[in-house]
This record gives sequence, structure tokens and C-alpha cells, in this order.
Amino acid sequence: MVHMYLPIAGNSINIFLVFAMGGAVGILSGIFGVGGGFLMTPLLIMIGIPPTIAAASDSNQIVGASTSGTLAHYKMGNVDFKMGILLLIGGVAGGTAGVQIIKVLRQMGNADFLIKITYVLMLGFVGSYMFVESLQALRTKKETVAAVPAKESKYAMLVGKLPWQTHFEKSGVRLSMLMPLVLGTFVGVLAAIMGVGGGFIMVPVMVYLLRMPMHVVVGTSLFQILFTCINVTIMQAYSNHTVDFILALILLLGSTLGVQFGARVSKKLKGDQLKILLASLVLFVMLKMLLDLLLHPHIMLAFKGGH
Amino acid sequence: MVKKKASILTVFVLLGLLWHPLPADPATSLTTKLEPNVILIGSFFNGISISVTGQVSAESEVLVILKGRTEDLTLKKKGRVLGVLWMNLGEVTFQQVPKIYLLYTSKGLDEFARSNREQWEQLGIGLESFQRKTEISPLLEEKDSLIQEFLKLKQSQGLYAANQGAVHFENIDGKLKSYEAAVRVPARIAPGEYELNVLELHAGTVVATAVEQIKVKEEGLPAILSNLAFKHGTLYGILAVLIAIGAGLLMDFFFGQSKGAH
Repeated sequence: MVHMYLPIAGNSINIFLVFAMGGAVGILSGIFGVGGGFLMTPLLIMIGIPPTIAAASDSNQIVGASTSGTLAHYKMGNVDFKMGILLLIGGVAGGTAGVQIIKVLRQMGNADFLIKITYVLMLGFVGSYMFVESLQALRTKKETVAAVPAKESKYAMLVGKLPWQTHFEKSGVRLSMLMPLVLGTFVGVLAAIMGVGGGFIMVPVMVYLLRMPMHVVVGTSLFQILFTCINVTIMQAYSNHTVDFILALILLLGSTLGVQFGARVSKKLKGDQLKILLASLVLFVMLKMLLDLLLHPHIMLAFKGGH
Repeated sequence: MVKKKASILTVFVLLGLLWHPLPADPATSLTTKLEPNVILIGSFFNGISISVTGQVSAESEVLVILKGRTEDLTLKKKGRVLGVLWMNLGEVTFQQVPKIYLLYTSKGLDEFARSNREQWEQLGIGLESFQRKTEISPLLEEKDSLIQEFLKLKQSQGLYAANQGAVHFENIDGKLKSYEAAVRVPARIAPGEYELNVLELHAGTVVATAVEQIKVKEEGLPAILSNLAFKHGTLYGILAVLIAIGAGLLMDFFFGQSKGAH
């Protein structure tokens, strides 16, 4: 009774192991506002789930986790719905464009190489920047109250000149509505090309380019991920039949619980502490990807559909 | 010269064996019994062991092979870029390879080969035989090593295996003995029809074969879900999403903090 059969994956799994995996990734999701696909998909492949089914069932699972997580963060006042919806509209448009771009790239040949290298470089850059920036912020706060850096004004001036300025109450920022739309599109394109959910790109974009407070970023990111994953789950179920509901269900029983716990942990941490932890996680993922590229593969063949 | 004649003769004998019904000679009368021969995949299916039992003549050896339908399998091929980075480079198709191939033998494969190499190779038994008989497309220089990797991949999934010395005997009398093998079927077995072959060998020659059919099918929840997922994909997707949202709401209801409780 410890094992359960997955009809779409065509394999059996240990219920407790998968439940625990869901719980662990759910905690990370609740703390940082990422979907956790970067961690879950390879873990599922490791326990014998085909890559395409691992990715699609994970998005089904994230629907549950992000529902639970969005609610938990909403109660703490950490979800900016206005910003989230604008980012989402951009994200859907960007995702659709990204799917077309990747087709063209694949036809040009060796797209996988370009994508992987870009991804590693981007994670490395974003991770290091966040790490250094939040480390400095943590240090300066200890000494004096941080002064507003003067060099930021150029970016702020440019952003201030854009039309359709509006106030985002929850985030406490005044921005053009174009900003979240354009940046959402940008993240959507990247996420579709990289074949990832985009939480890792979205969170830094919200922190640094939209100037949102870290806690609101986490909640708003989860809100956005919820809708992205609903879309992905239905699309995958419709066109590729790759969603294994039993697998998703066991995972989400763990993750919906984990995310509640994660949201409480998130509340206890300061914005900069959250940022530095997320930066470490991003750098860890970058290193793992780099190692995958550098180490001699155990088997020189792989099933189709993986990253 | 004598050797060559003998081998031609063996081929004829072998062809004759395949062509004609097996002789009713009691000394070679192979019997086979499977338990079970229908495998039902239910919610808690985690692979199953098929017990293969029967009788053979006292001097014989036994091979048991569980084989699935053959198919063309296309896999991604890994290679090096810029001399240091490993990634998927192109695809390769392995033509007409069985989905599953589980071999159980009463003694080491080397011993079978040693007793009559030529005939053994013609039988095409064992994982090594894939090296000779498998074709790949596109035809690549590294064909041999690719087939090796293919076998590694299949073995790592438990779908291909050669269990030597895993058919056990027990003497009945001077003429007959009973054999027994526990064929371990992995959870990865796909629904469909499978064939279990039992070969009785005497001095390196096949003297009798028995073919049994095994049916694998889903029942209960797995059957319902597969049917829904493949025939009504959109509905399945929507239901999966709704249940996930429901679970999320429920967890928040039971374990979430109430609003403004901080």
C-alpha cells in the first residue's frame, strides 16, 4: 500500500516519498514565491517519471500549492492584484510569442545550446547581483538608515516619463501601467523559451525593475503563477496528455501544506534576508545546471521531452 | 569439413523443429504453467512476479523469455559542444526493439554459447544479441556504443534484464525434472499483449518451445483516469485544475491563519 500506480506516467511511486517532495518544494514556494519546477521536475525524473509528464504534472500540482500560498499571503496583505493581473496579461502574450520564437530557434539548429548557456549566465548574473545587493543592504542597515542611492534617478526619471501612470496601493509604488505589461511580456517570452515557469526571472524583475517590496513580490508572484499553471495544465492535458493526476494529487497534498508553512516563515524574515536566501537558491540552481553540462553523463541517451 | 556438415545439419534440424509441431516424445515433452497470465494494473500496482513452472527432460536446460511488442524507439543523443559541455545533440532511432525483454536462464549464458556457439548466436538470445541484430537510423559510426547505451538505459528502467541461473530445477525421476522461475515484471510494464517463451535446450540445441500469452490491462481508477486523459483531454485538464484549487482552498481553510491574526 506504500506504492501507488500512476496511470499516465506508467510507473509506480512511493506515496510517502512523493508527499515529502511536495512538502519540501511547497515550503520553498511559500517563502520565495517561486513555483519550484526547477527542483521538482528533475526530482521526479530521478524517481522514474518521464520528463514531459514530470513537467506537466508539476504544473498541475503548483495550481494547488499557489492557491493555498496566494491565500496565505493575501491574508498577510501581500498580494498586489492590480500589478499581478497586468503582469499576467503581459505574461500570456509573451508566452505565446515565446513558443513561436523557440520554433524558429529550433529550426536554426543548436537552439538547446544557446538556451542552456543563456539560462546559466542569466541565473548567474541575477543571483550574484541579488546576493551582493542584499548583503550590502543588510550591512548598511546595521550602521545607518540607508539613504536613497542617487544613481538610481536616471532609471526612475525614465520610468516617470512613461504614460498611464497609476498608483499601486499594495506595493506602494507609482508606475506606468506599461511597465508591468512590458516586463510581464519579457518574462513570458523568456519562460517559454527556457521551458520554465519563470518565477526565478519574475521575482527579481518585480524587486528591481518594479521596485516592489519583497514581501508583496512573493505573494503577487504566487498569484500570477497560479494562473500561468492553470493555463499550462489544461493545455498539456488537451494537446499532449501528459498530466498525471494521481502524481499531481500526492504532490499537492504535500505542497499545499508546505506552502502554508513557508508563508509563515516568509513573514518572519526581513525583505533583505529573503532576497539573500533566494539569491543563494538561484546560484545553487545555476551551479547544478552548470555541473549537468560539465559532468560526463551516466548514460549517453535520453528520452525526448526533457530540458 | 565434418564440423561444417554438422552445423548445416543442426540448422536443418532447427528449421524442422520450427516448422513441424513438436514431437510427442515423452522425454522432451515440455510443460509450462504461468501464474498469473493476466496482469491487472490497479491503484496500488507495483510490479508483479509471474511464477513459471513446468517439466522438462532430466538433462535439459531451460530459458524463459518475456518479450513485448517491438517498436521503433527514438532517443536523444548526448554529445559534447565546444569540447566541454554535454548536451542533447540530435536523435537516433533504434529500429524494432522490444518494449520489454526479460530473460531467465538455468545456467550462465557463456556456457550456452560455449556448447554450440554458432547455433547459440543464431538463436539470438540475451542482451548481447541486440548488438548484432539491432539497426539504428541514421546509421552512425558509433552504432555499437549507442546500442550499448540503449541497453544500459533499458536495464536502468528494469525493462531489459538477463537473470542467469535464475531458473531452478528439482528432480522428479531419472527422466524428468521440474523447473521454476519467478519472472519479475516491473511497474513500468505498459498495458498490452506480451509473449512468454520457454525454450528447452539439450546439448545446445532447442528441443522444445512453449509460447504463452500474457495480457496486461488497467482496472479501476487507473483505467478510468487513462480513459479520461486520452479521450477527453480538456475535461480531464479542467477537472485536474479544479481539484487542485479545491485542495489548495481546503488546506488554507484547515491550516491557514485567519485574516489579520498577526
